[in-house]
Amino acid sequence: MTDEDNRLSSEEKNDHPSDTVTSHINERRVGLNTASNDSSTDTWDTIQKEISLEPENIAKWDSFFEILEEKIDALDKDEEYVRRKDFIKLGNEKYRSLLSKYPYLTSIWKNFSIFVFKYEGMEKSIDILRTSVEQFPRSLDLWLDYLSALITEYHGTIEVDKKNERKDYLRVQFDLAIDINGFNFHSDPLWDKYLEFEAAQGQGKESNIRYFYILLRANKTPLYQYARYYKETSEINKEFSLLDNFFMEPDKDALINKYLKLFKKNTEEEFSTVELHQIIDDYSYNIFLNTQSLVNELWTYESVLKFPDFSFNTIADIREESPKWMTYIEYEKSKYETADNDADKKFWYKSTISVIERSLVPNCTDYKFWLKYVDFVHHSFTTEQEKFEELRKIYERAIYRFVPSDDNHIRFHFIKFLMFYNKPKLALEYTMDLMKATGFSENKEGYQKNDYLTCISYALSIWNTLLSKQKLTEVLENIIQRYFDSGEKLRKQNAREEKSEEKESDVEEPDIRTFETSLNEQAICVVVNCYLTRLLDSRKPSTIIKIRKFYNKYRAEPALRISVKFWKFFVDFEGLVTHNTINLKKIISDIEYDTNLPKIIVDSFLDIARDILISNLPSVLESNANTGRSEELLLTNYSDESSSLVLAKGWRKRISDNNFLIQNLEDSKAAKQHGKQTSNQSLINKEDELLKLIKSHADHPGIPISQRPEITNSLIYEENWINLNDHEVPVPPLPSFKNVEKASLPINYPSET
Amino acid sequence: MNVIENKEWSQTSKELITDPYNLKKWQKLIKEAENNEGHGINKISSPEEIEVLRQSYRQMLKWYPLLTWYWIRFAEWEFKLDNYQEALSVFEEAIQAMPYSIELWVKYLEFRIKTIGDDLQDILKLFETARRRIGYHFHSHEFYKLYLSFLKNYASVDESFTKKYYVLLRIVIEIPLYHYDYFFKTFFSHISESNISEEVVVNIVPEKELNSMNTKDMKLVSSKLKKIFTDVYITTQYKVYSLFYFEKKITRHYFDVSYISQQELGTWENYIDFMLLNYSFHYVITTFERCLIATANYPRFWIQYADYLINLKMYSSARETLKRGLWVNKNFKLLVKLIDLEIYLQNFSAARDLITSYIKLNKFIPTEIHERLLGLEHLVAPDDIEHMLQIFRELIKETKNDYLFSILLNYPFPDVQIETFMEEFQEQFSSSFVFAKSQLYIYQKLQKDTSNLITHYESKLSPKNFEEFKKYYYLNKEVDLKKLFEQEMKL
Repeated sequence: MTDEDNRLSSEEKNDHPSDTVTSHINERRVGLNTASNDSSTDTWDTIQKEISLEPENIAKWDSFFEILEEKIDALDKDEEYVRRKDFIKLGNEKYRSLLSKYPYLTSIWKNFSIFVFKYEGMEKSIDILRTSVEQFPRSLDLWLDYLSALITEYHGTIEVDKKNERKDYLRVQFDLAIDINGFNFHSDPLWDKYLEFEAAQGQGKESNIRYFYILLRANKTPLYQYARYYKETSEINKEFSLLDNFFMEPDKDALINKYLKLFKKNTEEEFSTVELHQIIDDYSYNIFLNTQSLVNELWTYESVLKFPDFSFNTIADIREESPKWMTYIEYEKSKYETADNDADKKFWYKSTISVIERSLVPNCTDYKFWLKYVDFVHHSFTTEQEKFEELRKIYERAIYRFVPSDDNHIRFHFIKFLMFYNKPKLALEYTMDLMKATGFSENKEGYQKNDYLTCISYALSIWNTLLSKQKLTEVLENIIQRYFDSGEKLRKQNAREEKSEEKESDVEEPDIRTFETSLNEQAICVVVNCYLTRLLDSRKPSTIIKIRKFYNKYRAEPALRISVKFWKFFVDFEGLVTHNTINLKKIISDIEYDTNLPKIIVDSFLDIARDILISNLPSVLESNANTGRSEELLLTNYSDESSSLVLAKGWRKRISDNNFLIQNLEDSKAAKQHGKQTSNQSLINKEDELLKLIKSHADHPGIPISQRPEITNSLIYEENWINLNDHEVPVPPLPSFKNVEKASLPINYPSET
Repeated sequence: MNVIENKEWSQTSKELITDPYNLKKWQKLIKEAENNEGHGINKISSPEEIEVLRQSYRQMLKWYPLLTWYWIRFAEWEFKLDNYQEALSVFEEAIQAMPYSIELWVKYLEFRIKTIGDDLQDILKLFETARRRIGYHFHSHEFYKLYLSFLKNYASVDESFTKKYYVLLRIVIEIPLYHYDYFFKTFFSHISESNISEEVVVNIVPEKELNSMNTKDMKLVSSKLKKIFTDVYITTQYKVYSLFYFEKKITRHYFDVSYISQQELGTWENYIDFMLLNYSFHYVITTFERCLIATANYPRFWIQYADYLINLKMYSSARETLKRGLWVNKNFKLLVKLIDLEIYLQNFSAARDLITSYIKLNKFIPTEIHERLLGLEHLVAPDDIEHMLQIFRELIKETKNDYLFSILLNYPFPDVQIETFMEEFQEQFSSSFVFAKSQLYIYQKLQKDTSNLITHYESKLSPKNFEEFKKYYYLNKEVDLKKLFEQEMKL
């Protein structure tokens, strides 16, 4: 077997990892059953491999942690302390790395806290839970766990000062949790927990003002369980003063005045107890009605949502549900937009944000939801500076945390956003980062061509705002010059060396250097196009000369030989701007023979050129004045379906210049004549060689036959034609032959070995 | 007149006036004329009835000149009706229309032999003309059989025919034919020990080689010749096999209005390539012509054929081919090719005539034709820009073809004049993408502010076209990121 084969077969192995994986799984099962030491090591290795192969398979992660715990439990606490500690550390690390990548995996957070609780104690476990709600603040579940843990800790505290401290801390945490999640339609367990906690403090609900206030807040929030809170409120609200009842009202005086008018009283003191009760009932019933109608409205949207959590297993369902989230957000947004007073505005702002954040839990990888978020905040009431910071945070969450790197829509949006808020420097900096991330480099996978080129054009656009026209043209000129004149590798090296010697005064230079170092063949074409259009736009008499000089200097560069834009520019330039048919013909012939453009592009250039020539017949005739014919280009017929190399002369020439077999032939000829060759002329007629090649395949595609039996003086040759009209007809000479013996030779089929 | 009596025929013929490309109806027309309301046509039919039949064939073949068997049947009718001269002219006309049809040539030559008088040499000439055209046809065995038997049968009238017979046979065995075997058998029987004679030898072996043969020992000569011609057999067989690789894939050899499969079109292309690479000019021509009988409806083979002739600088043949193509294939691409050829040859008035007669006869004129008309007009008075703009104006008004604006940009006219010209049509073409694009281009050339174009066309163009327009707008421009953000945020 050759090296090539070896390489192939090893690749083949890599192509089918599934087989090895399943066999490992089977081994692992066996290992667990027999519980032998060897196989448990195997299981351990296997599962480690598996989670690195399938980092999104949560089931695999679960079993990894399961096995890890088994391993830890099997170790003796005292004797194998160090190994045990190492394993615990490993568990911590794995949990953290998994959760930093996917912070919305509730169950993993929970398992993590249990893991830590089991091996490192209560306090550390509470720390984990605290981190969990910091990382995933919209998770009711995690908040409830965290708060429960805090409460347990609180109950366990004996020291009075410490206990009070913890109580205050708990209240702060409860308020925070309500602030973040209170608008969640299903947040009743959280409200209940808070109420339960406050109820346990002090002397019964009737005299517990904290408890009552929380209840009033819950009452005003559209919650699934709204009726329960109303019922409970109406049971105890008469125990509290009118002002306490109006706790949630922004303008309590106005409300009291309303009731004074209603009861035709002058002061509050004039209300009798019965009247007071009537007012309280009326007020809380109104709140209830309001909440009830809200809940009914929300219910149409809430009732259809079935997948509120982030999960890899339900991705398809989540996708299907995302339009429902979108309509929900739209509804909330319209409520916010139509709200006519500050209080309502604030209410709906929070509510909308809550829905958007909730939608972003299952849909956190979908840039459209992030854009929706940006869109909403952008149009909200906050001040410009606040808005900028707020939006920036949203973008950064999306960009650095959630939206996968193969979907850069939101990232480009971020650049546009920075430009909108007049931060070109920041925008440029980020563009350069993104350019590096999407661009090609040897030690990195995944070259995202389109995104990378978009970065290039964005960078050019940002420079456009940063630099003067004159300066930018200069900069581009230098970039192009350095790129082509010193060759790519040299250029990169130079850039690196020069970087160290940089003058600090010139602010743009470092950016230009970074830009240059990440340029590739495709990117330089974008830069060239930008430079040329700039030259043309400035439309000074000298530019025409400059553009033509540019053409002569760089047209043979490999990067430009495949750039459609480059050639389109020059066809337009000579054809439509200067109307110079001689130059146009020169460019077309360069396109035909000296570029690496695909046939379909070459054909359309020929079509364009022909149309232009037809419209400029006087000048075409002038340049061909001596021949008595017009331009051959007028007769080309390339956009034909036929791709016969035998008939299409131009195409044949082009192919023969590029065909590797012919190149090999030329090389081997050149090697034989080593040193003797003086001129640049080709040693072989490439077109003839190509025709020979085609001929040898013509009636046996794939099986070249170069020697066929022939009658060398055959009567079917034109020169041997005998006209039988002549009265005296010659007797044709006897036939002579070539290669007759080859006729019966077996055909050499290309062998597969 | 009896025409009215043949009601069915009258009805069909009326229908055909509005529907001349309906081959089925033409066939029906012929059938009804032949049927003649059940009486049939024969020598005693009235001249009117015969005229109905004759006109039916004539008209049909005017629309469909490649229907070999209708030509043959038409000629046979005339012959049956004792109209020798008419039959002859039908055949001659048919040969004009289909110079490379084997069936036609064979039938024609049979007819001539059947009616032979003192025109033996004329018939020989005809055979030779036919051989020049269809002699390399893979399926020309019938023709050669006929030719050989003709030479043999009339050798008594013209003594040179004997020699010609052997020479022809000698030629035929070198031509790769489907029935090559038959001719070899004939040839080998002539040189077999039992049949070989002085007559055979002198007509097969050239004089200067006769000396090296011991003509006294015929047995030896026979075996010597057998040895030589076995190699011919091997070579011809090899060639037959390699042609058969293509021939076996060709299923349709005749003209029809139905489609041909892509594979078969591909086979023709490869076959032509193969011929170009391996055989002489006449072989290539025969293959092109054979191909074009079957693929006459496909402009690409006509154009390839013309290109081939143009490459060989055979301009008048190319012109004739294209004209013949235009007779059977009404595709304007052929006309464009022909116009381009005339322009190339600087026959500007011929090019103009082609265009004007096409415009007279056709309702719909493809832009390509107008494009050439404009180019030729420009040539007449290169400096009279107003005149040219007037022609553009009239054409645009008449055709409402927005692509003409794009063509206008190709002309070396001052940009300002083009811009003012375009403004005249601003209203009429505001929903046209090509117009918008052309206007954008001229604005950019004049370095006018283009931003109002984008707002103008946003409401005028269809959303899809506007997207496309925006692409052009930003093509050579730095993207305005700020504006993009505004647009995306719908500010």
